[in-house]
Amino acid sequence: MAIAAGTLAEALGARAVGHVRAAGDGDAVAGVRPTVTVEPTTEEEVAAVLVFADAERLKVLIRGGGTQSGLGHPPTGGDILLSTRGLDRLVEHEPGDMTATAEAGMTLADFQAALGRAGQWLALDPALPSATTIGGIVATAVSGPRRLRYGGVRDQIIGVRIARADGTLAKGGGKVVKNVAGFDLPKLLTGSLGTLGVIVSATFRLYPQALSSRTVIIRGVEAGPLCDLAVQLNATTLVPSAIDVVGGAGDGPCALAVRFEGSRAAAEEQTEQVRALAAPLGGVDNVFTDNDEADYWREAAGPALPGASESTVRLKVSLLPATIRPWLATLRDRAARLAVSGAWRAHAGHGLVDLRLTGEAAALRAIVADLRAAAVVQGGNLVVTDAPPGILAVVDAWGAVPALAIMRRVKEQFDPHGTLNPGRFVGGI
Amino acid sequence: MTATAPMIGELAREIEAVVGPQGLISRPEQLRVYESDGLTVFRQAPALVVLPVTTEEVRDVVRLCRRYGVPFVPRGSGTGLSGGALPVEGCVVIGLSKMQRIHEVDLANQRIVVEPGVLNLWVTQKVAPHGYYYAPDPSSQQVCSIGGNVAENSGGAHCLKYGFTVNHVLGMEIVTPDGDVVEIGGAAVETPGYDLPGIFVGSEGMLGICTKITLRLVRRAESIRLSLVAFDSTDAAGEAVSGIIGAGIVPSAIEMMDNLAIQATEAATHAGYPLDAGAVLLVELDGRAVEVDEQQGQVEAICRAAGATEIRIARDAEERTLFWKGRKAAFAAMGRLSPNYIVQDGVIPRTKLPQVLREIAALGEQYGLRVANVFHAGDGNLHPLVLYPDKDDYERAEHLAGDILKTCVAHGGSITGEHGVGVEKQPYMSAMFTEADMETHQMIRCAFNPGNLCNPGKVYPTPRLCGETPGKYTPHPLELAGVADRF
Ligand SMILES: Cc1cc2nc3c(=O)[nH]c(=O)nc-3n(C[C@H](O)[C@H](O)[C@H](O)COP(=O)(O)OP(=O)(O)OC[C@H]3O[C@@H](n4cnc5c(N)ncnc54)[C@H](O)[C@@H]3O)c2cc1C
Repeated sequence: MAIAAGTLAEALGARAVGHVRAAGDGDAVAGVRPTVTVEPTTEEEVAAVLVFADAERLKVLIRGGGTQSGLGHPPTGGDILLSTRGLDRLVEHEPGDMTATAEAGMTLADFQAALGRAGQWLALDPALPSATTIGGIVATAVSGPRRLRYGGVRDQIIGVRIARADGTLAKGGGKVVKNVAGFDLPKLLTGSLGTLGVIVSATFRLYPQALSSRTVIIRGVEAGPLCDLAVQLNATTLVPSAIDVVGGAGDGPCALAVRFEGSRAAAEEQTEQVRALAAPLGGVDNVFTDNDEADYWREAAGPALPGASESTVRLKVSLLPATIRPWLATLRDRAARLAVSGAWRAHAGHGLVDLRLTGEAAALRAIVADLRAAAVVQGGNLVVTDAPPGILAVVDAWGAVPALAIMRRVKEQFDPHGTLNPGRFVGGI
Repeated sequence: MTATAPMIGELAREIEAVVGPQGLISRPEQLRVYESDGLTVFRQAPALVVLPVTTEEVRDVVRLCRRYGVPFVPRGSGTGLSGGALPVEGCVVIGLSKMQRIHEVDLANQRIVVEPGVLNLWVTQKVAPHGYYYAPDPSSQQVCSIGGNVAENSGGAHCLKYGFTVNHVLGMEIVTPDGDVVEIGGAAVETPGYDLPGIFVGSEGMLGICTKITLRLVRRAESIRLSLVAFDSTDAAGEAVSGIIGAGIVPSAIEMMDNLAIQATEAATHAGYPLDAGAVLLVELDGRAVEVDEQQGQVEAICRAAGATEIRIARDAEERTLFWKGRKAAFAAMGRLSPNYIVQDGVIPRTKLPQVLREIAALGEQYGLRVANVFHAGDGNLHPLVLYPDKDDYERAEHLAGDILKTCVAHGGSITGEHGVGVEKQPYMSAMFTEADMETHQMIRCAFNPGNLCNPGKVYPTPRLCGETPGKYTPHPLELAGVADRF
């Protein structure tokens, strides 16, 4: 259903002056172009947009930084694009309590900068911090290498405020780090891809910034022995923040990067332990600190970055850490046979693998199916995080999901008319 | 909706066909064992108690309850402190204490798969020889079950650094209130779709019964250092806590006890706590030895600066256990000071600690009752123990406890950090949440448990009606009366 920007602006009244406009090409989400774009600056305004959409039975697409617009299925409809970028305030930061609340549209980089002034940070390190928003991080549950030490979004979020599909504003959790009053709404919203409500703000527990940090990198060794070393490291009393194995889809040498944070002496001592354990593998090792280290980890996000072209897919694979090695063997084998190239980064401590593959459409379809089967058989799963429409038309972005019936019922409760981000999530939710 | 006696008799016969005579309890004197959990002021005998041994038995019993329209209440070890496992009139209690198998230990991936009746401590005992442990360590860990921990999202002293039950549960097999067996989450770190384990953990038995749980195991640290630090006052101890956290140190635990709590504990356990101290802190550091050494120096300096009168460092694992024993036995030890007491579980932002402790003391004086304080100081989780020597003073004590919770909420905190809302804290939910908030939360219950037969009447003061969910099965009145079956 096409609506005119004027109709929505009229419905929102004076408070929304300048916040509503006709949607442009840049407002399309996975090929679906809404007619109107709205950028509310208060939660009441978000609620008013949803009340309007609900009454008119319009579909609403939600966008934060737009870095994950390719995640999931293309939406099955979309009349209004609701951008959260007008909600960009730091609501509260209590350094003594190590908690902070940000509005959904605040970028991670801005949030970190504010927290950094008190020597603290939100212990999440996904790709593209200057574009990624807090709401987007919660909705997609993205994480990065240091999830090994600090946990994922679900482990850091302690409170959430949402606008429900019918415009009701509601909160779950609170602003203390320990709280079991009521169902855990923050966890339900984490990774819900905007299908249950518009996240308007979120509260997190924080960590002190590390006193020092260093990363040891072992290069020039095959993936197999490096994966074994990663499993071995997991079983030691070392306390790494990240254990990443990186490589290309084909044969050839790979690298292991292990990061330590904490006191200088502890980081140094642990770095030496890793070098000693790696010595028999015969690779070349380097230790990075300060800017070199920061540069390394910024670039490390490579395989996790968006930007699918007609011949590229991006995948996120969840594996049990000890099964990464055999899974990579499947990748190498299929990539050679199907002439697919690419790069991967395996967070071998916690088991997530980011992967980007390039090849013919038919080859990509085949390799995704094979890699998914190889993950599932070992208790893991594979999600297509970005792919051209031709591939998404035949490959389920999420794969088979257990408990889908319950998830549908959750969706029916929160969004009975299927207003929010329709069709993008598991099972077409 | 109360079931009639003939109907319960019929249901009992059908349940017995599923679990055998040894799995069913129906004699009134035996049922009485199940009339309360760890919160003994609330009592209600169930109509029946079932002790299934397999997932299939749980499933069949749930289906029978549903067919008869009889409410059912899951129960683990019954140590809950908020009435979560309190029976409702005419209900079937489904006790999981016979499901005690450990299905799988996967050290390479640091996972373990257990049944709900497995006791918390057994998990650690199982993997300790290999250098691993299960991190959430409620003080009741020798007796409480993993199923109960899951339902309550239980915490413990070491949750400051390592997180609560929810941070350690990866996946579960559950029997839904509809009687379906469903996997939620999995063995891997992420599973696509909504975070159903994330909402099942802490759902206080209202979303179904978990029958298998995949837990994360944690590697035992290279070095562990536990200090017992004495102060003249809780204010001084509180200052030390703020100093330690402010210095960027994340100890594995910081626990505080005030003088009254020290008196009780010492009498009960002889752990060697200084009886004249106004407060003691237990500060535990763990990690790499070099780092623990450095941080220990900092902690001692901060404590001294805050006025520590004594710092004792546990010499070895044995003394560490002794120090911890004093803290972990604190609730039970209250019996030495008063035959009756109420344990509360409020949470406050840590920086509000000194102020809230003063307000609690003032409230105690106002009510003329003593309040002992034992708490997880690092995360602001208070356990005020309201002592009332005379049983007749219960109402007064309860009012005081309620006022303490309202104080916590007024300071931006929560009414419960780990014990759950259950029936006990229901009246205080509206201090934290609006009607719209609670209606929203209950949509989750409606998705899992639309008929509200699974642990009804808990947590939320007003149950939300779930509306007509497509496919929802409503028993025919004749079925309810036991006249007709649905075959
Ligand atoms: C002395 C003492 C000290 C304590 N210390 C702590 C502490 O430090 N930290 C802490 O967090 N708690 C503590 N507790 C509270 C209590 O031990 C925990 O809440 C514990 O997790 C309850 O486990 P349980 O097996 O006894 O469960 P129960 O009391 O039997 O049940 C608790 C809840 O879980 C539900 N339930 C039980 N099993 C299942 C299942 N399989 N599936 C679904 N729902 C289920 C029940 O319906 C009920 O709502 C303490 C209690 C005592 C008595």
